[in-house]
Amino acid sequence: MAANFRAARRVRRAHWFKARLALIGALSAVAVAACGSSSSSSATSKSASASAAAKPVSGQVPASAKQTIVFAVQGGAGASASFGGEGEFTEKEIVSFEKAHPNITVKPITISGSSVEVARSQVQNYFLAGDSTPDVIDSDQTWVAPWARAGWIAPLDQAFGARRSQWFPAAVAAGTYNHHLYALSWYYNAEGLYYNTSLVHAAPTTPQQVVAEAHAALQADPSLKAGFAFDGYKDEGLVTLLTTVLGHPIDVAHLDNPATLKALQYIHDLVYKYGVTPKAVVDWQLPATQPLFTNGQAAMLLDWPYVYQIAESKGSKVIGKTAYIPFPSVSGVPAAAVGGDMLTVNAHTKHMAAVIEFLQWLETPANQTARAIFSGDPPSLLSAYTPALFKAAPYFRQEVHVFKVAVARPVNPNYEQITADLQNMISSVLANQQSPAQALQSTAQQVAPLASSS
Amino acid sequence: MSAVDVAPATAPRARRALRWRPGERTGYAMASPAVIALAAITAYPLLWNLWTSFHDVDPLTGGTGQFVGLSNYRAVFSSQTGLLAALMHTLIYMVVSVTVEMALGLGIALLLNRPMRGRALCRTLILLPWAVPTVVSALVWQTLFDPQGGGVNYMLSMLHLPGSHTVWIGATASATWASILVADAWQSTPFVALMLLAGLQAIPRELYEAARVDGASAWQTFRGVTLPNLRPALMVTLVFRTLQAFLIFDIIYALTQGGPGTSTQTISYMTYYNFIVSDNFGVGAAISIVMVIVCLLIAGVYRVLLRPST
Repeated sequence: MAANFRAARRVRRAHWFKARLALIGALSAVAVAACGSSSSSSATSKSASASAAAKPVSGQVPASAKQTIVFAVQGGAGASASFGGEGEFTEKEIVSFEKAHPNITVKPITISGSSVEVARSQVQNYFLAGDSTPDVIDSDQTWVAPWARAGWIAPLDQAFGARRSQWFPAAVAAGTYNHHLYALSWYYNAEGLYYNTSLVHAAPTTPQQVVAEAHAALQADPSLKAGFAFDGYKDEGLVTLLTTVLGHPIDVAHLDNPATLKALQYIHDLVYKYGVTPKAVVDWQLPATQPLFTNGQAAMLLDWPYVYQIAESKGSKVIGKTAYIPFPSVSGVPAAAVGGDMLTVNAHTKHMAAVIEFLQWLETPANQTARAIFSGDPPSLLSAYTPALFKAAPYFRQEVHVFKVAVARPVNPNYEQITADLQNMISSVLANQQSPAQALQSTAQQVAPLASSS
Repeated sequence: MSAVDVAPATAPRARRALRWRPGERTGYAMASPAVIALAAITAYPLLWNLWTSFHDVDPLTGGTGQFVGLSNYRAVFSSQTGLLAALMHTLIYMVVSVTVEMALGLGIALLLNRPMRGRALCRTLILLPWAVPTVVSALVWQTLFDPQGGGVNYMLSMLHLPGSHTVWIGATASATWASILVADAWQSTPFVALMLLAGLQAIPRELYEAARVDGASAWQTFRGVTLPNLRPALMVTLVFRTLQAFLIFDIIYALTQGGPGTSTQTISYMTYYNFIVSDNFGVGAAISIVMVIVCLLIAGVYRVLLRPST
């Protein structure tokens, strides 16, 4: 019996030995594959990190040839797109372009419309693979500098440099990196101050007047949830809030300066000193802030242009009582943080000529005016603000004054890390975890190297 | 001849049996596609991460795979990068959440193990929270925790309990962690209850009858019969829940984005931050490898602590 036991044990060991051999073999094959692809991916990133291509890649397809260009659109194009009217109008623009250019087909592909980070990752996967498509990308303005530094998007100075003065200055600034134009503003956005004219009797012209008017409104109507509401949730909205209140671009290289401290202190004091904004603001996230104003629960609201159309629509409790102005910043100038979508071009596209024609089509005043009337997207071209637009959507008369004083966020290739650090800073101040001075000092040390490594 | 089977003193030395048995080669061949697929989706990313953790890989800044030694690992344990704080947050949360969920889950399992009317329905209903996708659950809890019109503050107010004006998410670290714990426990406790219920049902009834005959009290029965026999189920459940708690990400991402400030950043959140936000693949990979090692340590510790006593 013992001999049988020992024999059985020898057989089990043999099985384990063979199984281990097989497993080692499989893992070795995988390891070789992993190291091999790691080397090739590093080679890809080497080529991607080369200085920006001033000229299109070889093998360009002439504009007159029959071809297809791929257009990556956040939320997609068409009636079933995430953003409804915006996607629907994009489809109309594509159809009209194809009609005017029968040899060029525009194929829209959908990238995330609900998460800017996911959309960015989706497009970056194409770049990392060295893909020549998508040719045109509906981009967030924070993507421009990183992609330009990595050599993934093409400069557009040659085709559009002479037209710089036709767009809002902040729109051009947001699309410019290292003095080259890398992105065109497709449609515009700026974060201004809404106020209920039945509660706020005069347009505030200083930050202290904002506080005074908010205070007065709260005393006049104790049922209000906020005298002054804004998006205080920990996201990019905190950075646009700071930019708006500050009144000029955030100086990332020297963040710990008196002006930025004044702006941060003001934001803190709105909650903890003046009491015109409740502590619950840390949980208020776009677009949940909009009903606060349109339901008459907030006397003033810092928000984007989309609110105006809703405020003047059926169901709103502030119809005819909405005003929209630039925020009177702590720097003494009216200001509004800029937003909106940009158009960038894949540096490896083989259809540069066709792409330029498509961009020129999208960037005509007529198309931008039509888009504004159809879906409410504010035009980025100054000449698109026509009497026809004001007749169809009168609120644009007020909005254009906000757009003219818009301020760009830092255009920096390390923006993703910079904004994360700024969001941590402002969030900790709004939660009263740190004083504004402490938060500013510690964050300045973190972001200064990021500013200088651009 | 002795009745005891004794090996002869001059028996030849055993040799490894390397010859394939009939059907053995076919067995390995048929299993190999699955093994290769498994290796591809687990071993390949793991080995790629291991390589990347020792190199500077950052596609946006042109990090081209240069060998940097332990630099990325030093960043993981540096107080400058916030990763050490995130690791501490994660470990503390792991201990608290597992303790709460195991206690609640065991209580629910003991209740569901008793004969009662509607037991089958209760067992089905208890699983519903677990079936809800985590992000959906987090968004619902975000609404419930809304300080202005959320259900939590409303219920506290109706019951005249303190905290009915609390700003749960984003105002203070403690309230924010409490809201994360509640959302996580609501969803995970049913899983614990189900696993432990299965373990309870495997305990022979005769043991309880014997304890009753011997005059054991409820606590003595629980301690002497239930707990020892529940050890295998406890171990599996503890390993699962501890690892899930250690890897928590989706609730943090959906509810708090790591705020207020950096108070609710966990190690998984920092992995996401390094890979997706700052494109610092090297540090992200180093964090991933550290997480793998910690997970293996956790599983090993439980295996030692909960092995049957001889």
